[in-house]
Amino acid sequence: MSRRIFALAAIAGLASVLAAPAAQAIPAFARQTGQNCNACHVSFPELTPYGRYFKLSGYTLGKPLLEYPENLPLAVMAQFGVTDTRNNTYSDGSKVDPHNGEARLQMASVFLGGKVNDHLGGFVQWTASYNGSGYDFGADNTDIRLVNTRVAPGGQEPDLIYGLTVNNNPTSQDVWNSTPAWQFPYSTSATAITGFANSSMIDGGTDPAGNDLHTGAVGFGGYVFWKQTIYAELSLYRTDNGLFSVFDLGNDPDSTMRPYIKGYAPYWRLAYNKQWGPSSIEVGTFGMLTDRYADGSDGGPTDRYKDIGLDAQYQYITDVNTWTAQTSYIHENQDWNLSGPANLGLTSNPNGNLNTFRIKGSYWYRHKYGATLGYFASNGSEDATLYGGAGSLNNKPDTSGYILEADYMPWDYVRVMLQYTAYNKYLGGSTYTDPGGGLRNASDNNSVFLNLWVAY
Amino acid sequence: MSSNNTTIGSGTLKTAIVWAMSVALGGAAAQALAQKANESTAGEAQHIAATVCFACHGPGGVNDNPMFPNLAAQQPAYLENQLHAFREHKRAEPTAQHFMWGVASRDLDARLIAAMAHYFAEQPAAKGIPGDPKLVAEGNELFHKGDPKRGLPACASCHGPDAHGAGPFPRLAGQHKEYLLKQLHLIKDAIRNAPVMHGVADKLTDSEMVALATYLQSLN
Ligand code: HEC
Ligand code: HEC
Repeated sequence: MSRRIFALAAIAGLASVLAAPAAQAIPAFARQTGQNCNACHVSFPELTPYGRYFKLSGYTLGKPLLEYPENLPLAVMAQFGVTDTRNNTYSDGSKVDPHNGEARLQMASVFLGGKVNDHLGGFVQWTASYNGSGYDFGADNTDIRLVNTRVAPGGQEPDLIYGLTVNNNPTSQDVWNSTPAWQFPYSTSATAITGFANSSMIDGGTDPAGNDLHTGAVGFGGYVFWKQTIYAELSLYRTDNGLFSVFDLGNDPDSTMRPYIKGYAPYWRLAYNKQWGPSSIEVGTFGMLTDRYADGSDGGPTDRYKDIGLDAQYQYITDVNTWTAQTSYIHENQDWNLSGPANLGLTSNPNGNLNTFRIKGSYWYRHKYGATLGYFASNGSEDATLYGGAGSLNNKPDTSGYILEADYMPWDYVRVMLQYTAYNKYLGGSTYTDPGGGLRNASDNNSVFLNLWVAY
Repeated sequence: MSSNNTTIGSGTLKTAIVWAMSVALGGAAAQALAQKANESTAGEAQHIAATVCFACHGPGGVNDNPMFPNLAAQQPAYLENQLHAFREHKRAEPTAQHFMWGVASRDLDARLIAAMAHYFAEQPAAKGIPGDPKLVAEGNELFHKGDPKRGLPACASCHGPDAHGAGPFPRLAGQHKEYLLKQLHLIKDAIRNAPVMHGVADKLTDSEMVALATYLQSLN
């Protein structure tokens, strides 16, 4: 296995780790509506039915920015964390997480968000996230909406909400917490190994050259929500270069590793929603078809990712007891016309596939004490270069494990989080080859993450 | 790469101009949509009820979620009092603060409050939900007779014989049992500021509250 492939795989792994802790709740909206965070959030970022309505109606409830100057449309958020990885040393003596056991600022964000008028609202987020040695600062999530709510003459509720969204991360516009951008875990260690060894493109995964889509793309979408029951959306994502580089401010737009999407990648979403008493459910499907240049060029052959997801959510919310559950399954087909053996040689096969599954259940007591149990599992086709090169003994990406999390919110704007991630499988099995060349157990990657999350 | 050919200065300027124009265009489109919403105050109140209040209180102020009180057929004077009390932070139990202080001050103004109250008062009431007959009978007895020995007045003397309320005395018929129970406790513990009703709630035991709430939820 060549050193170059190893280096690329290492970069890919690192990039997927760093892409993970994107960020959430926006106290500026609480000030705009005058409501408490828990009107919209079970716990940030998980949305309540009212929170979903608030987002779909373009963040336009409450007072417009200009009529309420004392209500700053700004919010800040920070996470301070410390991680302990079970076996922090690779076979060659190098460290998995050089900052194991050190408390540090994981990330900090600034939000600018609010209601412009009854039909226009949105937010822009900039984030500095820890990259293992310093902080990367740049555009994070952005969502700007132009919306109309149709009430029939004499009607008692909207029969149609329809709107346009401009955003920079596929599924970040979604209002259910069973799609990638806002699904559990809501925060993970910036330095430990977390999540899948490989994720699909729509799930923040990387291509064989190590680039993800998150904030590398800008999407324009139209959506309808009919009688609070059927949600349908079609969006088109393109590379956020040139005119659209504002969506990627600070994220090194001229890097040669920049992930170029060929033309416009279609994203679709269809969901069924129902509410009764304190309960609500959603069952849906989503997907995206992306043609990408993995090598920074913008001509010639491309890799094609076809992602199809199924998801579901259940919530039961009262003042005292709250139960919620989310699950998703994503199937990805990969055509490596560019990365494959015929061109770049980053994969052994001309095509492959990857399946990822997640499920989690949470309980909250009085919106103050929370406990969550999550399970994740992936499997995929064999590839000696892509996965074998990264250390898989059977050339597969298969990863599985579970997450236990306890949360305590002493005040609305403070969350103390203790998270334990345990692996059964990593990169194909219970053992794999670590970057030092020796054998490593998947469970050596188990980690404990203690995080203090504040937002104002 | 085409985007890299433009120099930074002119590229940034061009980008800024195009964005400024798009923002102006989006704002204009949104403004155009907003124009037609300016009708009568009553029309505005109906629109707010159907686009803001409905999300928690249900269409027409009827819902099946015990966290959110039914508002339909409520006494207009009581509704007005409550909305003013939220606005002025006089009704201050945690759920009132979390959910209603903002709505009453950001989505409503003094002018709209009377129209909102009128709108919900005119909506058809929620249907009663039958409960445990023993509790219903016990609640019925207390509601209409009180307990003179303890100085507990009949609820009916203020809330009306069919619990439909009158003026500042709220309708209780068909209200969610859990909501009624919670309010009785909040008023008893003086967390919700309601002096007249506090004198009454103070004398109620927990089991009497359950019987009363079960009875009241069963009424149409
Ligand atoms: C985000 C959810 C939410 C929205 C939106 C909302 N309310 Fe409420 N409302 C509540 C809750 C929760 C309570 C109960 C507060 C408590 O338990 O003290 C309440 C209580 C009330 C009450 C007191 C009822 C009673 O029986 O004492 C009135 C009146 C009221 N709301 C009117 C409105 C109006 C009018 C609107 C729309 C302009 C509205 N609400 C929008 C959540 C909401
Ligand atoms: C002396 C008059 C009086 C009597 C008797 C009385 N109430 Fe009340 N009650 C009130 C008033 C006034 C309010 C409204 C308080 C406010 O404006 O916040 C009220 C409010 C309530 C509420 C809150 C309703 C809501 O929608 O939030 C409940 C529940 C209630 N009363 C139950 C009872 C029961 C049960 C009894 C009999 C045991 C009773 N009341 C007897 C005057 C009375």
